[in-house]
Amino acid sequence: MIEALQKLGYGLSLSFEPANLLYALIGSVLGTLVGVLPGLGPVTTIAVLLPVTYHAGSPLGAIIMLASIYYGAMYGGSTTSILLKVPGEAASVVTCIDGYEMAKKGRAGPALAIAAIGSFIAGTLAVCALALVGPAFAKFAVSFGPPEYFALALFGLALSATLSGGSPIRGMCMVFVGLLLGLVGVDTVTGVERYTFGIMAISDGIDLVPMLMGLFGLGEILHNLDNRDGSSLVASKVGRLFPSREDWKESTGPIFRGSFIGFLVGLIPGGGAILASLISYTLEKKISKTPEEFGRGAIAGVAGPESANNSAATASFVPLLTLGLPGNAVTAVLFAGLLIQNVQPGPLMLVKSPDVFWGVIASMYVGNIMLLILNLPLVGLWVQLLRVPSWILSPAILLIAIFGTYSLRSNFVDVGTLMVFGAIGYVLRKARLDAGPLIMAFILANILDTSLRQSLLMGDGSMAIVFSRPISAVILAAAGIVVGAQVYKYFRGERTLGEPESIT
Amino acid sequence: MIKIAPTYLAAGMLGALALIFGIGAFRLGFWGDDGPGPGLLPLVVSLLLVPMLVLVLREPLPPDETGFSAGPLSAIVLVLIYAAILPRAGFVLSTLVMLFTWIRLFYRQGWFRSAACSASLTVLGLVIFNVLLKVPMQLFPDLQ
Repeated sequence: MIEALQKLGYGLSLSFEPANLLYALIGSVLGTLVGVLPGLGPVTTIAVLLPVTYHAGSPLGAIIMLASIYYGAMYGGSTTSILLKVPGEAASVVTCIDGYEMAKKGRAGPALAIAAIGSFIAGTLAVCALALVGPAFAKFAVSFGPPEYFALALFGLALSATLSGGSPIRGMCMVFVGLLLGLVGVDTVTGVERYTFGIMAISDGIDLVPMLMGLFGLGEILHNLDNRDGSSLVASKVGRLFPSREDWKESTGPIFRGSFIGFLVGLIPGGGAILASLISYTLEKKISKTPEEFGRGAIAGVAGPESANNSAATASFVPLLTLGLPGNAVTAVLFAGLLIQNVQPGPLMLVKSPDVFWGVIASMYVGNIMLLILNLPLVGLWVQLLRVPSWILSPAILLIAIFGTYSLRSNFVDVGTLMVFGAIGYVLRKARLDAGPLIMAFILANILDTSLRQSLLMGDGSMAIVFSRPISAVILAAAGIVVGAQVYKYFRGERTLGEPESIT
Repeated sequence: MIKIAPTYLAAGMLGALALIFGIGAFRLGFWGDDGPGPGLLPLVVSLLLVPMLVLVLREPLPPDETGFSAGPLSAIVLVLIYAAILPRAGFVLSTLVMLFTWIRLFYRQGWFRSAACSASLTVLGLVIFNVLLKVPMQLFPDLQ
């Protein structure tokens, strides 16, 4: 444990260098700036701003900037949840309930402050837990072979399809589409080109970043055109910012309980953050002496879920950094960001590049600190931003998406890819097909394909090897239970038709 | 307004994708002398996707899923044209025209406001990316 904390200290010493702090500052401001815009959640924000991190001076600087954008975007989402009742992501839906009620009573300031402080405490605890759990996970994962990776990839896909919100059948469709698109390009086993149709630009596969920016960024911009009115959003008055002694008393317990629940639930790939905030809210309501206040502006209803949400977000880095498997759409986008910096997440990351591993963990903490010291005093500015009319904001975001995509490789094909996937993203969104599982499957496609074929070779053409090895058998059984439960629910007639909870 | 339910359009698109990948899998080969081939997973996934799409189509449509409105569809056409002319026209002119059309057409702003906003945004974007971040960009039309 002491060794882990020493290494975390080393990561922090790297992150606190002046240049890296500057990247954290820029990332935090940009992340909040875009994340605070209604309809743009963390996935869209990170996707749109991903190219900007490419221009940071060093891989660690870029990763710190990325983490700061992430936390800034999450805080931006909480801001719109509280002030406008517009959740930036599924996990912020719970914050809307009491946060908006507090805002209506002129207590938006304490709600925003407690969301930031709760997130900071939860983030701090979760980063420490990550530093302890991460290396143990990585050591365990080093012994994994193709059958275990095959089972893990299947498990991740099953969870992403079922826990992303909305209909699981639609989620599975998106998983299959993501797998197919992820198989485009040169086959890593045989060297044969698959589904490139002679197009040179996709011989290495469809580039993840323009695709992400298209599906989430441009897709969202196009979707927002359906509800345009050209006017600005009238924000509530923020009121006094800092919570009173009574607020603190009511929030301390929920913050710590939310942090604990969030970390445990966040370790599950698929949809940790929303589940964590829901469990936290339900728990706080159950144990509260005044449960009738929940839904009418109870500060515990903001503190608990926001802490759980943040803690779960940090915990979702455990499968990403130690297994190389993104657990949700946000970590899938961050995965792309790490790849841009030539950082390959996975069990060998801790062995091959420990400075980056600890740098990534420390950078999340730096992002959290920057968020607290910067965003609270700037709440007024973010509120002003909500008053900027959409006829200025919409083309501005479009411009960032286009120039940002182009800046990655100075390639016009990437701009074309952005536009095509933007159109696809819009159609999918209208059809209530969530692009989150698609992205996760896209990333996992090659791991699944390679591990499937290697497992078949190891088993002389039989898949029995996957069932005969204990770890892969257990993971596969878990995947089977997840899929089986959804199939059972579907055929019992419990079909979900509602709008998928936006993870963008 | 195009009165086709988005679910039907999406299912059609994804069905076509499954068909292309399924047929392609046979060409790639899904089993060879060395064991599993590059077409194995695409074939399996294509075959799994089709029944899923059938199940999606069997789900009742919500009443608000009526079709596509003209605004976003025109926007898609606009950005696709932009992407097509960008390599020839360069960033300055094409971005200026695209943003002007975007503001004027989709947000119904006046000529002056649309021109001022599109010009300011284009200049600001170029200053950030081309000047500050030093991204090499073709600014003006390629007349060769």
